[in-house]
Amino acid sequence: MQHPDEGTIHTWLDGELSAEDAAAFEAHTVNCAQCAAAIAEARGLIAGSSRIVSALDSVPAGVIPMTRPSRRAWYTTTQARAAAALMVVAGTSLVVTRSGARDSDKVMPVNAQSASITSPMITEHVASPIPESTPVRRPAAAPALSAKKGVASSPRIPESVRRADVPLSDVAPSSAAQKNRTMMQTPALSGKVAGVAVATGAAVKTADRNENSESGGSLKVVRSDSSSGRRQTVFETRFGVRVSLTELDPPGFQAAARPSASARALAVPQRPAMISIPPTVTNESALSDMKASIANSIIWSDPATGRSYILVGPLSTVQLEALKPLVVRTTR
Amino acid sequence: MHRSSKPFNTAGNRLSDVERLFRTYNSQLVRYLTRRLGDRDWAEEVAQETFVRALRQETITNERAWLFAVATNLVRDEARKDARRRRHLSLLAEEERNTVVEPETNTLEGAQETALARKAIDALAERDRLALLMREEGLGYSEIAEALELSPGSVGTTLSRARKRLVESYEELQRDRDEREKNAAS
Repeated sequence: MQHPDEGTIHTWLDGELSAEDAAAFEAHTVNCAQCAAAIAEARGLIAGSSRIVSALDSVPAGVIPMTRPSRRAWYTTTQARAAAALMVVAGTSLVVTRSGARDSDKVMPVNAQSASITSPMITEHVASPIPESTPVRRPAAAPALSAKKGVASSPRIPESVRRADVPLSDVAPSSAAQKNRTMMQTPALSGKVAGVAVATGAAVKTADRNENSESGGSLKVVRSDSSSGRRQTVFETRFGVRVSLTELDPPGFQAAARPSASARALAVPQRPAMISIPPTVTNESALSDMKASIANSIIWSDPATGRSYILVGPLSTVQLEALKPLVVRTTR
Repeated sequence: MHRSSKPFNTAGNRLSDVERLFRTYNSQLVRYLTRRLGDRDWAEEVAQETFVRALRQETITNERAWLFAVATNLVRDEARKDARRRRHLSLLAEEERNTVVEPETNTLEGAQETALARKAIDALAERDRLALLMREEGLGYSEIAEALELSPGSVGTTLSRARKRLVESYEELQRDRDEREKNAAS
């Protein structure tokens, strides 16, 4: 065998040579001083380049708090942000898909109800009007919230939720049935979502206070980027905290999901975009990730435009809620 | 019946597939993109967009290679489309690099190492750089070949060249810096 070239040496060191080639390689190099030196050099290059690449990792980002960005925080923040985006996308396309799957006029109302039952947090956001000019004081939120909770515990269970009792084997193995299975997973976790994300009465009071301190200030727009169907804006509060707002156009996602004409007609009513909690966040670890994360997110949609908003920042959900009116005003 | 009602990849439903993809690969992908772009916000945006694309994709055979290829292409397309925005973002990133103090680089040396590493990485040819960054995320040769549309046999050569050049240019930058510091001190 000839002396192996550098590419082969790296391939061997990376464990990517086939068993046969590796055997031939080893048979030669075990007695070849020249190759031993080349292997040692390649090992050094591999270790050296790994170290250099790792040195790239201390890159800051706008929304990470400057006080304690740990490695763990870095990942959870990333995941929380992406999960939030996926949640909206997935939730929206889920509704569209279901609308398409069942060509019935009753589809949208059923979805609307199931959304209000499975996710009181989001329903509250959707239900509360976006303030026009002055920040809306929060006290109204507590009764509104408990009212929604009342809805959640009411015996009027919509069809889509009741269907969760149907054994999987009884569901026709069509794609529509598969989507229904997706929906079935939702109620199970909705309690947890509510537990994590819905502000309690006490917390709402805190939000009220926080809002007083925040709403008097102003937000600085650090940067704003638009791409098809979405806009991301990074704000800085007067306390130097950076939050990121992502605005999503529902039509973009509907186009992406290519609903049938009838589904499209159903999906663009006067109602705001329905955001049901998809299985993306049904999982325990996802929730604890988002909870433990130093960055939190809140999601709402504007009933007037149907646009969805994701606000992410190194604040509690209550604080983000308090910041929401200011963000909305600044965005306009 | 429209396109998205078809099952994604396997018999399972698309959402849970994408959820699994996200859990498995998001951190790798974001780190790869951050290293590639030097901007974590941008990296996260691109990663999100990649998973959104996965949601719309009918079938994905080699998941990790697919995700890295899509992310890489998104970066490339975006860079081509809007070079100005890219410059703006790198300026912003540069600005922040100078103002934000992170634990990992809270020493002057740490910050200097990062700057040198960035310069050395930027000096590589694009394909070499991407192959190396993908390998550092644990991608196998076949995955790298698929993501970068290389022949599987050339990945070893690409990586050996990338590593050699990276280390060489890093050491050269280090020498230059030491030289300058010596001159400044004397």
